[in-house]
Amino acid sequence: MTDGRDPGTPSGDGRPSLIARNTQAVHSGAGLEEGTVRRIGRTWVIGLYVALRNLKLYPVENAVVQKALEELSALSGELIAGDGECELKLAGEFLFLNSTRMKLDLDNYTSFSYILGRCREAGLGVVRFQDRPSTRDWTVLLSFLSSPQGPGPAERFENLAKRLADTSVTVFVISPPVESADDPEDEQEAKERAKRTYQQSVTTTKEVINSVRMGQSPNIKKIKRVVQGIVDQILSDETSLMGLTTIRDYDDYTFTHCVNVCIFSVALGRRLGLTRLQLYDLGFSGLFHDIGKSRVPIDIIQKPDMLTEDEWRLVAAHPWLGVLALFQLREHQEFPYRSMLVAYQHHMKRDLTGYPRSLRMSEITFYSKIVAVADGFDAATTRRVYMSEALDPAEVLREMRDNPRRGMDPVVVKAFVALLGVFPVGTLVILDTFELAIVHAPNPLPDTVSRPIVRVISDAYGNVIHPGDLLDLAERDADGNFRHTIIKTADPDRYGIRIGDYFL
Amino acid sequence: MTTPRATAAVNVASEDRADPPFPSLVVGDMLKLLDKAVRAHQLYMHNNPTYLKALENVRRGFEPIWNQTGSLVFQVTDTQLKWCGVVVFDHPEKGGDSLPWLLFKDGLRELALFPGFEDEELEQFLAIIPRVRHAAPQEDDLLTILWEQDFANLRYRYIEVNDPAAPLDLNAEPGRWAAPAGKTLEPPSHAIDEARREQEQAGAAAEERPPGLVKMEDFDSTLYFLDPNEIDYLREETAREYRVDLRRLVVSALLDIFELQVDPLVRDEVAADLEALVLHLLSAGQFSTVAFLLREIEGAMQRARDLRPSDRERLGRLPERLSHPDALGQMLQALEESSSLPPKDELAQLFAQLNPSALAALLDAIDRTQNAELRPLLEASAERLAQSNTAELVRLVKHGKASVAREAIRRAGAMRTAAAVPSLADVMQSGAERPMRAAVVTALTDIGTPGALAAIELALNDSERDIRLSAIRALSARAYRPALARVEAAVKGKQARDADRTERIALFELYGGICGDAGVPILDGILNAKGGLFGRKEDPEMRACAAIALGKVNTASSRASLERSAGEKDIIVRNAVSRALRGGTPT
Repeated sequence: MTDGRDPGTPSGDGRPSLIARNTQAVHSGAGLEEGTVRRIGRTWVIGLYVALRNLKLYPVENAVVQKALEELSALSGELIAGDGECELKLAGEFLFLNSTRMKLDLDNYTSFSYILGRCREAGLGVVRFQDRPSTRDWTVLLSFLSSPQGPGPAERFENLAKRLADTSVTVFVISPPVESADDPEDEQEAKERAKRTYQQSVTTTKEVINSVRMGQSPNIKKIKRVVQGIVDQILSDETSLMGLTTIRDYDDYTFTHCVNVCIFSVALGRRLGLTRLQLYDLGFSGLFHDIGKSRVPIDIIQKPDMLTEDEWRLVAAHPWLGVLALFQLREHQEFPYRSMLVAYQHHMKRDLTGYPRSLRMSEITFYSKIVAVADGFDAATTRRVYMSEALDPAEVLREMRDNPRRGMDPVVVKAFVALLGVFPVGTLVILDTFELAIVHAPNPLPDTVSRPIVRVISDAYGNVIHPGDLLDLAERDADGNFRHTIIKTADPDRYGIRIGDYFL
Repeated sequence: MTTPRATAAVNVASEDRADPPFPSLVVGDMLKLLDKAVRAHQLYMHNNPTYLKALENVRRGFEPIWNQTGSLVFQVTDTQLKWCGVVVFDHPEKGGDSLPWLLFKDGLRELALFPGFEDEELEQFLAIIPRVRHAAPQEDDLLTILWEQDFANLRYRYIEVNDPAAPLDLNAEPGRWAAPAGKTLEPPSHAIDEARREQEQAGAAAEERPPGLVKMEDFDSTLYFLDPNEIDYLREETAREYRVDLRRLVVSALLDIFELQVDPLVRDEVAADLEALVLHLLSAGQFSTVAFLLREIEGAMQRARDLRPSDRERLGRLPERLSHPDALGQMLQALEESSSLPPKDELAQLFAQLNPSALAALLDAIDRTQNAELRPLLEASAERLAQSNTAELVRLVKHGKASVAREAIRRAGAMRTAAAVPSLADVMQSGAERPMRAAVVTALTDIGTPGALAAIELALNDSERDIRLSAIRALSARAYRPALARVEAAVKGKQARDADRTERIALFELYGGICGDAGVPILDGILNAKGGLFGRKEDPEMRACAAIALGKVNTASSRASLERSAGEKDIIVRNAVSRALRGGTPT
């Protein structure tokens, strides 16, 4: 494998690379060009998904199944012909084919999730082959992938290897995941990077909003750097940064909220297949969606009591004040039109009601819809100075999904729920073992949306543990039953649990 | 790839380097070639052999390096590039053409190159250097441009100049909040006890689930995965985001704010923003959006509550500003020079919003344009404005700029604008240039009112033959009798005799058309006089002209006069006479 194809792997000179890479590979050695691998790989991934699905739905003799397997076999042949081998590797939330990262897109979103899920469930990290597998080889491998045996990933991987050997399928060389979330060094480095990005983002956002409040011109370059950093971080390690959104520092609520909305928006945009530069546009808009609040008196913004009607009117003016405030921010000689619209529209409903009242607005931009969802979620799940308690993230998602009066785009909400899981990152949950746990990351398996990866933070008697161990709620015991299940969500503020600390 | 890092980390990293694995001279040589290529990129066209050679040299320079390592990591200082702690490129001066300084000044502290950089990304990199070098303070810096380029074989680390990030507050007990003043936190065990109780209750009464208690059956996974229609919808939404006219929506938002917010300060600010926006829209060629803005301003001012006169005046000035000859002239000049015009309907929308003060600039542009596509749009717009604002058109007839005045004169004629006649007459008598006077005569001819014809009469004595001829023909076509005295004087006097044949014929035709029987003695005198003191007759051409004029008079006395010369020996005269008697026209 050539250097630097994987995030976090050592660089070519042997020193650990401190430089994260967003685009992992350009060449495939002396073989296929990256573009060619991407093109073939895109079809290959979808082919693999179709084959897996068809095998699950139809008998193996069915023509549909055979056709899918033949196509997969043929595409594998193309890769082998060019590169001398074909290697599928899972790394974090990415799929690499012959060391080239496959681009997540709306077209292959389902395929990605499905393949990642099946492989994870089977404890499989790498499949490599140098000879073209027959349709029988594929049938055997994919059937085993669809019916993993064993309580945990390690056992399932061992069983998979054994079952392949027992059926004389030797063309595939398989390995468990090479990059494990349990690797403390990798995890710590990812956390550190995310933390730096988050700190920088909050600090800069604070500076910028305060500059605008003082009528000064903020430093656009720093803002750009912040958004670029968030985009890079989301592209390389989404989980760590998403986890930091749970830092609910209500002294700095305005600023952390802006950063959180930016993070959620970029993460959602990434799931929707936006390009890097599009993610930048979206992130920039997300970061400044509430900039109009810099023009609302700070004592009203931070008022701990109920707002009077006049005070509410001032707060409700922040979307249109945001447009005016953004006229102070110019990129080059250009105005940030997209961000102005997001600031203006993020409290508008799909039917253009909501606030501010609009006379001429003919449509709500897509990024406004995305930011509206991210904003609604973060605002509702964050306890602010005037709130006695924050809302339960899962309840918030349910409300956003089920209450049409919220006026949010249901498809965007659905994608958002798919991003966060039923229990969003940072949710405090109680397991059926009566241990407290914090949702660490959504589970990529498509049928385990309610079974995230959690960090157990107390024993069954309520004794708090820090940092606690990670637990995959999709894990099953020898009888095929889930080992742990969430029975309840709980309010962390009520019990003084500082969620953010578990992501630092 | 961007990676920020703390300043301290940079220092540590730069001190802690291994010895170079191979002679640093190779790296230094490559950097010198790279520096030369940077200069070549700036100096030469990109198909220039010198530039291509420079590129080739850099590529060759990388070859011995990649044979020995898979990466090159440079530490960047203000004057040097170091590799494995060894200075491999030195430029003592900060600023100017210094490559280290260029990289250093925006915060870049480490630059890493990987195989493939020289093939695919070298030229991208070379293009960045002049951009950064000439970037104004408000423009993107090196770090932003590098990020946007999304290099795969170039990575870098940077510091945020003078901006160490503030640390988060990590003082509290890990995982726990300190209890706020006056509030007691419940121990976490309470949550567990509560969950146990609720589980038991839920088992007893399945229907009544306490808040927060999860029922796993609620979670149908398929609910959370996008179906193909939803994926299509999201794809279309993404495309729409980049298709939608953002500027128009922002204009809508600003106008809504202006209309709905009665605070004078807000309205002032919106008006200022709109003024700034118009300029940007124009420079961006967003003509339909400008048209939309100008159109909507009127409605906004009509509907807005508590609008101060100053607000009305300020916003109302926007269309006026756009129509100002200087502003519009610039735009029209840009259109004239642009290789491709914006969509016609967009331009038409914009031109439709112009007010009368735009007419001068439009007329000027019409006069000068070489753009066949632009011309009809300009003419249509000018016609609209001129028709609805005759006074402005009339004013422009005497405009100091010849191109404007000439086009206004032409348009006044085409529109038969009688109100323009006095101005046209003034131009005629003001000693204007010949083309202008000619245009005036044409315009007056087109207008054709008695006043216009009276003004044309002034041109009978013009110094230019063409203008006189035009005037004669115009008056002749209308048989303008009020000009008789002046025409008769011309016929009798030196003017007819000095004129060339064409003018002279035209003059006599005019005279014949308006003089009636009263003119016959004069014409007969010219045609049939037996000579004066020395027995000389008029020259044959004059006599022929008189014959033509008599033919025009076409009365008994005029025919009698013609018949007296029927036996004329001079062939010119004889032909003219016989044609006049037959009612024919001269050749």
